[in-house]
Amino acid sequence: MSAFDENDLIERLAAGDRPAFREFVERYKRVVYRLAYDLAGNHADAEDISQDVFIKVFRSIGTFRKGSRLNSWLYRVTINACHDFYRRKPREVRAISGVSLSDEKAPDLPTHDWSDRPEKGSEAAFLQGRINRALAIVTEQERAAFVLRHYEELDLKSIAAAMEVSVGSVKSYLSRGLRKIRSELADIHGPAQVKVSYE
Amino acid sequence: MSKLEKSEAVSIMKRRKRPDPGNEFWDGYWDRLQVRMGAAGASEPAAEIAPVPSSPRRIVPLIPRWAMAAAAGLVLLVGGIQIGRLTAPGRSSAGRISDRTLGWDPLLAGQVADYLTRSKVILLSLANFEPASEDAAAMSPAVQQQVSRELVVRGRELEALLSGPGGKRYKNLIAELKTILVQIANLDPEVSAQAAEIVRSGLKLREILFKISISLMSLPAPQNGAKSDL
Repeated sequence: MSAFDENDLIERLAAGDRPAFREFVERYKRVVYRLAYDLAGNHADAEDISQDVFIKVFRSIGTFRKGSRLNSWLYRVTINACHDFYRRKPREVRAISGVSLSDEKAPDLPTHDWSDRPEKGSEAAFLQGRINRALAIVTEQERAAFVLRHYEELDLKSIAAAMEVSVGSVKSYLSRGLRKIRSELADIHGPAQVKVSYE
Repeated sequence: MSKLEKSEAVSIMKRRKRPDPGNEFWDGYWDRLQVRMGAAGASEPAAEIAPVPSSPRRIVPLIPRWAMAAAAGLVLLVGGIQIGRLTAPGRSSAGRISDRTLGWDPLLAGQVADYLTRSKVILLSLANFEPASEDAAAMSPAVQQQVSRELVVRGRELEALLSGPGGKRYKNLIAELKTILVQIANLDPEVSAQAAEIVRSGLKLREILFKISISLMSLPAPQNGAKSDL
């Protein structure tokens, strides 16, 4: 989406154009859902959070500063919506904060068919479980920083803007989170390494 | 943790797969969002309603944050002052009412309280007077009579000062007390026991003592310069 299209869409949204809002939802629902899923760790909460995001956008598009990046704003709204969601929701039912995330089979979601290679399927499920568990043991802030950096591939400044913290804090979250993740995955050997630097 | 370890951890984490909810999920997303928005009361865009706020709930977001904070601060300040006034030491709940409704000079209130206290002491000494068991520390009839005479005179002065509408109740009580005090002042010392009995039974001493107690509770704490000289 070009900057011109984006500005046009925002202007129409701010003017209360209902078709513009639908267009906005259709364009960004996958982005928002994906981030919500990464932060929440389960499908049901991810859908609720993503809908919260669009409701917030609908209500507060007027606060969006012209010239700002819509994606960054959406990331910020999603992180805040996720935080609000788990503040409202009892902690014991949070999948992301417990072991349940690692055991999640997502029965309501289509999964890859490994029927021709059962050992491969089992191995992949094990790895996904361990990854989810590693993502679940870090704090909310550390998880948000990690997800934005390594899954959304944002730079530190954008992450800081999305999380409304300093770049130094982002580095700190990333470093602490990665240390915990590393210790959780200590017995798993990865393939080719990727370059990691928070300097 | 070395950079190598970090990069290894990240490379493993990057193998994470997000299950896709499927086309059915995405196709129905807008409809479910509409239902959710209806339930959340967000069926109209904020931008549309901004120019013409239709309900107090929608007006609130339009008020600047500093104005809300200032209003909240003002409410807290006024509330704090009221709580402070209501819980100030030395003031009973009835005292608060008298303070507001009578609009008295605090000095006059102290003088009335002092008068009632002194009268109460005299009446209590009379009520508890037992010639057979009287001890040396008890107030002698002569002193009772002397103080009673002083209180009768003082009562007249206070009656003159209690001319306001809120002072009527106290004025009546002082008048009632004066009647008793005059009788006490005129008791024959030789037959004081018998006379005291007459006063006790005839004038319903307990009732008047109760009235004094209630009136004292209704008055603010005595002020400096209005202390009892009993």
